[in-house]
Amino acid sequence: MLNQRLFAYCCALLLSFTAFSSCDEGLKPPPPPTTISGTITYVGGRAGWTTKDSVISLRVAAFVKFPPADIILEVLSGKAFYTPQGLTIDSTLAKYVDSSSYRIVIPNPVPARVEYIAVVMLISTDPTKIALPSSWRVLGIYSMNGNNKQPAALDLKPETDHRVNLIVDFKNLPPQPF
Amino acid sequence: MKYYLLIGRTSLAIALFLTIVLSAAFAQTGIIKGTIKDAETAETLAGATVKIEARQTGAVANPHGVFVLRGVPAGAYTLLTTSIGYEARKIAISVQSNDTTFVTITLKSQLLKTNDVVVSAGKRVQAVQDVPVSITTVGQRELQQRGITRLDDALRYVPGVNMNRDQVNIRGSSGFSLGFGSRVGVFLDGFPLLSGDGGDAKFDALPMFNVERIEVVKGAGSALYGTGALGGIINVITAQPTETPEFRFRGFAGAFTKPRYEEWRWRETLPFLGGADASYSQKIGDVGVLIAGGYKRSEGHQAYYENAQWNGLAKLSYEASQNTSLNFLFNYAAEDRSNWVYWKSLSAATLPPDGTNREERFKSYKTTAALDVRHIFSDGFFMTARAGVFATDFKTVTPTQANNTNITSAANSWNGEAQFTSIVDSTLLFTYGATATLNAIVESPIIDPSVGKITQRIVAAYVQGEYKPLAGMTITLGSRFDGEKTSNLASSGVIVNPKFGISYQLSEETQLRASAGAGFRAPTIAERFAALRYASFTVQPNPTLRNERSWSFEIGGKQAFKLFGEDWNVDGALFWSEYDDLVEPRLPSPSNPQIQFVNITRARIQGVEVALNGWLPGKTLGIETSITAINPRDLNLDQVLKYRSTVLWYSRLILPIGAFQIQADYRFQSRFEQIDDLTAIITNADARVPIHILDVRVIANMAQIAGLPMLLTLNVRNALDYYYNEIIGNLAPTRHITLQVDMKF
Repeated sequence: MLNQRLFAYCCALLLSFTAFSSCDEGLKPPPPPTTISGTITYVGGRAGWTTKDSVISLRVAAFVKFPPADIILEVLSGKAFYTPQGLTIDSTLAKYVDSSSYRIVIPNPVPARVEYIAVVMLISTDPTKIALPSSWRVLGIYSMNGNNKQPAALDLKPETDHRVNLIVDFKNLPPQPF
Repeated sequence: MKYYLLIGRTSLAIALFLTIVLSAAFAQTGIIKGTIKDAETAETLAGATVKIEARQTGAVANPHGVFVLRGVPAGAYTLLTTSIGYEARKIAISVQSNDTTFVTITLKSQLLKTNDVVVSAGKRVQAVQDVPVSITTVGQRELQQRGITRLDDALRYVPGVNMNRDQVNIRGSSGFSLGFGSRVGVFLDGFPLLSGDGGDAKFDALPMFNVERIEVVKGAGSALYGTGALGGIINVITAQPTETPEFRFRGFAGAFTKPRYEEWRWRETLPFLGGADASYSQKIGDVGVLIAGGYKRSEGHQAYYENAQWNGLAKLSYEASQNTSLNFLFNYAAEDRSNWVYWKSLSAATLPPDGTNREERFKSYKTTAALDVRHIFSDGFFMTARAGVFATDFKTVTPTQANNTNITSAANSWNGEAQFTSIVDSTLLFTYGATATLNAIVESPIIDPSVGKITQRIVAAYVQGEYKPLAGMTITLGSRFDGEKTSNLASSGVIVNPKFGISYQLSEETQLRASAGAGFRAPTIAERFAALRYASFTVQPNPTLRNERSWSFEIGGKQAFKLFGEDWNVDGALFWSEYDDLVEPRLPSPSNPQIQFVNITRARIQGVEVALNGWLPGKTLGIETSITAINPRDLNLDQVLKYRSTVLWYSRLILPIGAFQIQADYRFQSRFEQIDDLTAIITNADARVPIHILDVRVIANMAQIAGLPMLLTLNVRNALDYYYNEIIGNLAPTRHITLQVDMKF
C-alpha cells in the first residue's frame, strides 16, 4: 500500500510538472518606458523671462548626435526626442512660470546615450519653418558642473527614468549650436 | 397560425388514440420490491431512485433504502437505479403477474465521471451509454467541492466548454457578442431560461446550491429544443424534496490575494468575498417542499468591482395520484454590482478608464415561475406538460444623481410545452410534443422607439422515434418544426430541423455512437432592435437579420477497461459543424465604434475530443483529463473564427488521504488567434495570453474526524495567480482563497 501511495504521489507530481512546465507568465504590466524627466527652473522667476511675445513655444529636446545635421531627419530616424509631442506651433511647455516639469519618452530601441539635452524656444511664427534649426534658440542645456557652456552626454538605461534638471537664465544663454 | 393549430389538434388526436389502445394492453400486474445499498460499505441508500427504463414508473428509496414499485405489468424490464454520488446501474428483471419480485441493488461510489443517467438528450430518462450524442454531467458533489455559486463557474470545468465571460461556448460554437444571443440553450428542469430581450443566459439566476446535476449536451440540440440550441444545451436539474426532513447549509469566506505587480495593487487590505446558502427540504404525505436562499458578496479583484447577489428558491411537489404529479418551481435572483467592463490599460489593469462613472451600479433581477404536470395515462403512454415565465429586468443606476436611471430593460419569456411519450413495444418508442414561446418586452428604452411594442413568437412541434433493432442498439430519428414571428417583421415560415442518431452498446465496456442534426437560432429582439451604449460602444439596430442555421455531425465511442487493476474509461468523439448566416457584432472601423449585429459569417468547425478517467492502484490517485482540439474556420474570411481557442485541456487529480481529500483542477485554453481590433478604443486591447488555471482544494470530512455532519473545504482558486483575460481588456479573477463549511442535518 505504501508503494502504491508513493507511486500515486510521483504520478501527481509528474502530471503537475508536465502541466505547468508549459505555463508562461500570463499578462503583466508592460515595462516602464525609458524617460528623461525633471524640472526646468527659470532664473529670476517670472520676472526673469524675456518679453512675452517673443516666446512662441517651448520644448525640451534630446539628441543622440550633436550637433544635429537635420532636425526632421534626426526625429524620423529615432535620434532626436522631444516634449511635448506634435511638431506644431501650439505645442509648448508652460511659459512665463517660475519653474515647470517635463518628461521625454524614449521609444525602443533605446539608444545607449544622448549627447545633448536642451530647453529650446521657437522664435519663428511661420509654421513652415518650424523644422529649421534657425527657428529655434537654445535656452538651457544639460551640462557638467552647471557650466552651460559645456554640454554633457547622458547614458541611458532602458526602462529607467533619468532625472535631469535644467536651468534657464535668459540673461546668460548657452552657446547656440544651430 | 392555422398550421400550428393543425399540429396541436393532430398531437391531441394521437395522444387520445394511444391512451385508449395502450391502456387496454396492460392488465396483469406484479410488484417489484427491493433494497439499495452502497457496494462497498453495504449502507442502505435513502433517496436513491429506481426507474423502469423507457417508462414513467419509478420510486424513491425510503430512509431504510427500500423501494416498492406496484402495478407493474408482467414482463421483462431493465431497472435503472441512481443516487447522488454513485454510478448509475442497470439491472434486468422479470415481473410475474400477481407476484412480488425482490431485488437488492448495490451501487458503486462515484468520485469520477462514469455512468450516469440523463434526461436532456432525448427529453426522457436514459442511461448515458444509450444516447447517441456527447453528453457530460456535473454532479452535486463536484459542485459542492469546487464551491460553485454560479453556473458559468461550473461550466468552466466541462470538457469542450469554455466561457467568454458571460457567453458559453461549446466546442467553438460561440465567440463573443456582448452577451446577446446565446448559441447554447439553457434550461432549468427542462424549462427554457434565455432572456426575452437579449436571448442571453443569466448565469447568476440558477439556484446552484440546490442543483442535483447539470447536463451538457454537445452538438446541435435544436431538433428537440429549438432556437438557441445551435451549439448544444445545458440543463440544470434541481434537487427534489427529500423523503425525510433535511437542512443544508453552506458558508464560505475568504479573500483575493495581493497582486504580484505593484502597478495592479489598488488597495491596502485584501478584498473580501464570502456568502452563505441554506435550504430545507421535506416531504409530508403527497406534498414535498424545498425552500432555499442565499447571499454572496465580493469586493472584487479590481477597483470599483464589488458585487452582491441574493437568491431564493421554492419548489413544491404534489403527488396528486399514483399517476399524476405536479411540480412548481419559483426562483428569484438579484444582483447589484459596479458597472465597468474594460481596464484603463494593461499598466493599470485593475482600474477602470479615466472618466468612468465609478458610482454607477448595474442592478438585475431574474424571476422564474414554472409548473410542470406529469401524468401517466398507462404504463406505456405518459405526458409532461410545463408552462411558465422567465422574467428579467436590469437597469444601470447612479444613486447620487437625481435622474439616476441610465439604461433599463425588462422582458418576459413565456413558455409552454406538452410532451408525450408512447411505447409501442419493447423496440419502438415515440416522443412528441408541441411548444410555444412568447418573448415580450415589458419596458426597454434601449429598444428602438420607432418600432413600438415588440414581441417574438415561436411555435413548434417535434417528434422523435427510437427503435431498437438489435440488443444494445438504438436508432433515433426525429425532427422539429419551428415557426418564428417578430412583431411586424415577416414570418420565418416553417423551419425544419431533422436529427438522426445511432448508439450501439457492443458490450458492457464498449459503446459506439453517431449523430447528425440540424439547428437554428432566431435573432433575438435585442440583436434586431437594440439601440444603446455598452461600455465604449454604441449598438445600432438591424431588423433585417436572418436565422442562423447549422448542421452538426459526430461519431464517437466509449470504452471501459482495466488498468493497474482499476476501472478506467475513455470517451472519444470526432465532430464537424457547418454554420450559415452566423450573427456576429461588426465594428464598421476601429475609429468608429458602432456595433451592428449582422449575418456576417459562414463557418466550419471540425474537431476531436478525448476524455479519460480512472484510478491508480489501490484508488490512491484519481485522474480525469480531457482534451478538445478544434479547427474553427471563418469561411468568408478564410481565417480562424474570432474569440475561439483551438485547444482546451482540462484535468483533475483526486488524492484521498484518510478523512482528507486533496483535489487539483487544471485548465488550459490556447490563446485566441483572432479578436476584433479595438486598440483605438481600449488601451492594450490586443493583450491576451493562453489560459493556465490551477485550482487546489483540501477537503476534510468532519464526520470521519469528529463525528460531525460537516465538510470543511479550503479552496484556492487560480492558485498560480496566473493573469489572463477571457474578454478583451478585462483581467479575469486573480488568486482567491476561501474556507467553506458544508453541513447537512
